[in-house]
Amino acid sequence: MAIIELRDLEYQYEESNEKVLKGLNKKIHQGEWLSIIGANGSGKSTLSRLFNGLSQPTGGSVLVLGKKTTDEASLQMIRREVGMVFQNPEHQFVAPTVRDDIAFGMENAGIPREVMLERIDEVSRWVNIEHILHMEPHRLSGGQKQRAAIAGILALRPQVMVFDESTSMLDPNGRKEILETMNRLCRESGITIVSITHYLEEAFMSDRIWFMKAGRIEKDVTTASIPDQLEWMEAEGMPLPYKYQLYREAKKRRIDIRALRTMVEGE
Amino acid sequence: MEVNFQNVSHVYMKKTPFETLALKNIDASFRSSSVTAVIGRTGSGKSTLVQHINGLLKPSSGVVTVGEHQLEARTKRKMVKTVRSHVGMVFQYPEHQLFEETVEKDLLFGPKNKGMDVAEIQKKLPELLQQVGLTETLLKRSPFELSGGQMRRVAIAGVLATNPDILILDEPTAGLDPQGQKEILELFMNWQRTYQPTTIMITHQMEEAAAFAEYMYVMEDAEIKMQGEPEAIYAQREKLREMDLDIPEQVQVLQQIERDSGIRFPHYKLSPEEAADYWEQAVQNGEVPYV
Repeated sequence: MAIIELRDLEYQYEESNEKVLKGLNKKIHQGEWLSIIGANGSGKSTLSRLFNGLSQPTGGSVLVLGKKTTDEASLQMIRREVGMVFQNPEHQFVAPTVRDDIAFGMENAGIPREVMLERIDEVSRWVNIEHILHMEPHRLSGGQKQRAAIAGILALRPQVMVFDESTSMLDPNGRKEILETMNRLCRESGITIVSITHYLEEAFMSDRIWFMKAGRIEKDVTTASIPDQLEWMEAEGMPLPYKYQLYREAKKRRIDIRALRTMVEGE
Repeated sequence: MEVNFQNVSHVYMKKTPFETLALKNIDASFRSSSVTAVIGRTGSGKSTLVQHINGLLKPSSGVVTVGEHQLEARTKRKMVKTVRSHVGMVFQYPEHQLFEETVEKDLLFGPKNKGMDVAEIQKKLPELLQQVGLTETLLKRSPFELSGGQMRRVAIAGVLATNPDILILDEPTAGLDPQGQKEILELFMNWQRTYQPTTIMITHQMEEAAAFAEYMYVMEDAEIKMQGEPEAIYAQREKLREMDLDIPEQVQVLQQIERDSGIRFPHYKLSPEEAADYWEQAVQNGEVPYV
C-alpha cells in the first residue's frame, strides 16, 4: 500500500516564475527505505517539506494514508504520522533537557502523562540515549543531538520518518550512528524512511533511489540494480565511491577482480 | 616557514573546577612548504593545537616556534601580532565571518588589517577570485546575496588574499556536499602547489588527508597518538579503530583485493584507472591468477 502518494504534484515559490517541482506522480510504499538524491536546487528539499504539509502544493496533491495534506481536518494526523528530522541538530530543541524535549512534543499532542513516561523509556532505549536524558541538548555531540531529535519524533509513533540531509553536519562517527538508527527503525520496527541525501554511500544502503533533476524525478531505481546504474550516476557528476569506480574500470577492460565483484554485487 | 612544537601543554580554565588539559606534552614539527593533516575525533585537541600557531592560544608550558619567532606563556601581544601576520586561518564555516557590504571590501579586510599594500592587492583580486572558482563580476555584490558555496569561496579568498606563509585549514569542507568538498579541496591543492605555504589541515575525514597530506598526526585525549606518512598510518587499522577512526574507503578496497588475490599494489593512492592498469599488467606477467 502506498503510504505517501504524489499526484501531478507541482510547487512554485511565490517570488519565482519557474516551477521547482514539475508534475510528479509517484508512490512511497509502507516499510520501505527510499532515498532522494540530486544536486542543490533540484527540488529534493522542497519536496520533503510537502510530505507532511510544512509547505503546500501549488498544483496537484500529496496524499498521506489516503488523505490530502491540504485537507485541514487531516493535517494533524498527517503531522503525527510523518515525522521530520532536519539538517542542523542545533535548531531542533526547545526544552532544557533531552527528557523534557521528548516530553514537549507529546504534551502538544495531548498524550497522557503515564503514557509519556513509558514512551520516553521506550524511545530512549531505541536510539540509545538513556544515559543522556538528563543532559542539556547543547552539551551533546552532533550524533547524540540528532538521536535525541529522532527520539522526540519517535515518541509520537509516526509511520514515516523523513530525514532531510540529517547527517550532513555530523562527523563520520555521528553519521554512522544516525545511519545505524535509520536502518534499525526501518528493518526492525517497520517505519517507512525517506532520506534526502548528498551521499551515495547512504543512498546505497536504502531500498530504492529517486534521482531528482530540475524539478522532476528522473530516475526511480532499486538499490539491487546499482551495478547497472553507475554510468548515469557518474555522468550526472556524482562522485562514486572508489569501489564502484574501480568496478567500472574493470568492466570496461573486461577484467574480473573477484574481491571487487563480491564487494559490489554481493556474495 | 617552519613551525615547531616543543613539549607544549595547554590547560583550559586553569585553577578553576573546570580545569582541563587540552594539550599534553606535544612535540610536533611542520616543515616549510609541507602539507600535514591533523586527525582525531571531536574534542581530541586538534583545534587547540593549531590555535597555538597564530597565537589565538598561548602554551601553558613549552614553546611554539613559528619561523624565527617563539611563542610561550609569557609572550607579549606585539610578538603575537607579528607571528599572526604570517598565518592565514580558514575556520570551520568561514562564510559565517563575512560582514562587509561588498565582496571586494571583505576580501581587502584581511590585507588592510595586516598593514599590507591594499592598492597592490586590489589589482590582483580578479585573479584571486578566479583561483577560488569565482568571477570578478561578484566584486561589487553583497556577499550575502551569494549562494552558500560562493560565500565559502569568498571567505577562503579573503584568507588567501594575504598570501600567508602558513595556511591553517580547520575542517574547510565541513557541511558541503561531496562535489563541493572535492572542489574546495582541489582549490587548496592548487594554491599549495603554486604558492607553497606550510599547510596544516584539520580534518575528520581520512579521505581528505589521504588525498592532500604528506604527513599525518593523529590526536586523542590531548596527545599525539600516531604520526607518520599516510601509508604507514593506514597499516595500523586496529589502532585507528580504537580511536573511532577508519582508513579511507579507497585503501580498504585495495587492501581487500590484495588479501583476496595476492597482488601487491605499489601504493594506495592509485586512481581507479591506475589500479585497473596495474591489475591487468600483473595478470599478464602471471603474478596473479586470472580469477
